[in-house]
Amino acid sequence: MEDSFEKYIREQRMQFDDAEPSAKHAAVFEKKLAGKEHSNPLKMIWWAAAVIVLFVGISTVMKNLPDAPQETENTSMALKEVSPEMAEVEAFYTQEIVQSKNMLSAFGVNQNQIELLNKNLELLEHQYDYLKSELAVHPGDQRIITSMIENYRTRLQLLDKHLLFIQKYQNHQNQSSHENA
Amino acid sequence: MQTISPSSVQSIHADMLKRCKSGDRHAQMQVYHLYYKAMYNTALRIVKDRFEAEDLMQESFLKAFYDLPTLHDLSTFTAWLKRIVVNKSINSLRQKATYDGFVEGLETTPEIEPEKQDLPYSVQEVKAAMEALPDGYRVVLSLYLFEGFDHEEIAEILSITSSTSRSQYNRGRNQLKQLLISKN
Repeated sequence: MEDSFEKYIREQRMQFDDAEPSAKHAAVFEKKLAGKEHSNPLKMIWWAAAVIVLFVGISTVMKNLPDAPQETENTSMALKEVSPEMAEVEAFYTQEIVQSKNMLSAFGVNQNQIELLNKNLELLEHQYDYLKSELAVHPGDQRIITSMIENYRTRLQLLDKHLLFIQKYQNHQNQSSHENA
Repeated sequence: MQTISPSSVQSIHADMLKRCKSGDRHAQMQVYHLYYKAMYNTALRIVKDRFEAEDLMQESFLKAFYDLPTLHDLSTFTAWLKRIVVNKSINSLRQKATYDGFVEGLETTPEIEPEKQDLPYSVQEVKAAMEALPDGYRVVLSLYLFEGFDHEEIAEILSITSSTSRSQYNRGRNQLKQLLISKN
């Protein structure tokens, strides 16, 4: 039962939230948000280099992973089989990935870039198959479920970063041709 | 003056969160402006450091926006966001060398000494006394008194038993009272 001190706190509750962060907090946060979405072209080149290094690393790790078992009943478990919420999460990412892929094809990207991207996506899909087989052995293991969501996120981020890079490159090209005209 | 009904506030809120979900930065800033102060104060009560609390609060918003696609029921957004802030703040506190933690096994729960009828303390005095408490007591008291978690929820957040949470709470309350009396 609530005592007099708890009652006092409840009645004064709003007054306890009186501290304010630094004066620039909103501007700092806006920058952090923007940093998550955009980078300047130079940073993008560094990012592309980092992706290559990362995936060379992933490929090495993947080679040492046991092969994912063939998809048969009870040997693998997809996110959508965990719960209706996870089915929704999986549907969301699948749809976003398809959309991003369609946008990339619409841009008519250079073949080498597409091949590299597809290779990296395949590695992630292979990793996802491995996680599915692990989830079948340890149903409901939150760490595996989190890794599966992270896997989808990484695929989507990879596609989005490629898209952003291409858009910036095209804008830059358009601007240059406009200035030269 | 035109008034906005609670249901339209809810639908504006739901719409704002849906836009956040799709990565709309303007909507994300609007949601940030709505909740930053409450979330900042929650983090500050746990870590006691202004710069750290600001960073933890902002990192929590970034995580919340990033993980928003996994949140099925948008009406639980604030409780979910607060839980992210609390978890991040506690993790940060635990990494400090000065962290004095919880003493498990102290399951005997002392009685809370009754207060006088009138409480002659100001908000600032209570805040100062809270800050002077050991980490373990301060965290349990903050989560129970200010963030509205019950002992079962606190037990889950801190990976302790609910009886340890109750016992820490009562001990913390008695120590808080001593601190307030000694200041007056």
